[in-house]
Amino acid sequence: MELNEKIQMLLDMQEHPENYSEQTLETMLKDPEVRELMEATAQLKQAMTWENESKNTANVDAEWQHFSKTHYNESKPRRGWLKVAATFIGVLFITGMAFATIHIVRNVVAKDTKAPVQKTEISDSHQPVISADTIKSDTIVMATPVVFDNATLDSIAKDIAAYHHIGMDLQNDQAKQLRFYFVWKRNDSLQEVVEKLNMFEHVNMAVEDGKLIIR
Amino acid sequence: MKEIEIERLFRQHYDRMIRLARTMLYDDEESRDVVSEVFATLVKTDIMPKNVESYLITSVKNRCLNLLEHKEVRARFEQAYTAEKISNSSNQEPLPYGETEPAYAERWERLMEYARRNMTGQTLVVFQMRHLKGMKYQDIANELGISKVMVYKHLTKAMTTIKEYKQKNR
Repeated sequence: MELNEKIQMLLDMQEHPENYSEQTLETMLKDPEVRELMEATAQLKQAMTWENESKNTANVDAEWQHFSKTHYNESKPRRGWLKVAATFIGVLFITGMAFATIHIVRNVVAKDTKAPVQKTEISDSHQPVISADTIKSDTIVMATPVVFDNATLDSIAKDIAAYHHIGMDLQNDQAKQLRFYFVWKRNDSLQEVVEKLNMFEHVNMAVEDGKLIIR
Repeated sequence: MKEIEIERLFRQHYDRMIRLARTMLYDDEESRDVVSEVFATLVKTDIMPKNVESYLITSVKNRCLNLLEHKEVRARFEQAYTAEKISNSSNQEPLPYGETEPAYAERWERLMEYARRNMTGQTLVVFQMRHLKGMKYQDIANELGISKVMVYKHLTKAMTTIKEYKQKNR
């Protein structure tokens, strides 16, 4: 194929990729000349986008508010000594329980001398490795989205609550009857999912006290 | 990492990070997700990266590339996503102190400068209408009062000019 023909075809493909089979498109991409032209297009588009972007400044304040709300309300910042204290109290508590159990078992079943062995395992705190993020690898886990087709709000909420290991509180019986088409991206945070669901009419959901509440 | 530290980093670097993401993904929502994910990994760790700025920029870049790799081939044609790594390292390993803003910003600025010198204003306008506004060829022709063939010619010119530029700067 002549370069000119290739260009013509590429231009048509860029406007109407739906007219071509995926295989045809893949084959085109393997052509080094086409790839170069595509890359050239991408470069110019990027350069223009960059120039345009330089003119808008992001509203960092609002973005920060949003970020801290979604990431610091769910998982409180960990404080080393608090964690240690909590573990310590936990160990004391379990040991206490073990003693109590032994005591009760001994008293009630006098003959049975075998005291239950209580095992306490304290796992070493896992050190996250930060450099992982800088390596260009396929780190994004694309959890397949769940499609609810004509599903009740009740069942949608149940699945979502179970996925995030939280309880559910249905306070509005009428909301139970509502049916939706909803695509649940499981990569979304709980907060984001709730926000998306709240965009539906008559839906009023919230996460409070570790529970998914439907009002 | 403590909230106060994250906040400092966020306020200092957010603007540049979001701009880079938008320039690679051309999508506001996806870009915001990427940047927020990068900070989310910092929330979960107690280690401060050595060169924070470069760590943040490289993370944004890599997450964008990962996302782009998952795009369908049709979207690649339609949206003209880059397949090229921005860093010019020949091996796959990222440089320990990756690329910081000036390097890629400068590259794009130089490219625009070359584009302005070697293309007519109309070529640039047509390209912008097609690729940044996503207009159809026929609509561009109608709006500018030129033929569709001319639209093709402008776009061809834009592609080949940048291709030459890249060949010269290899």
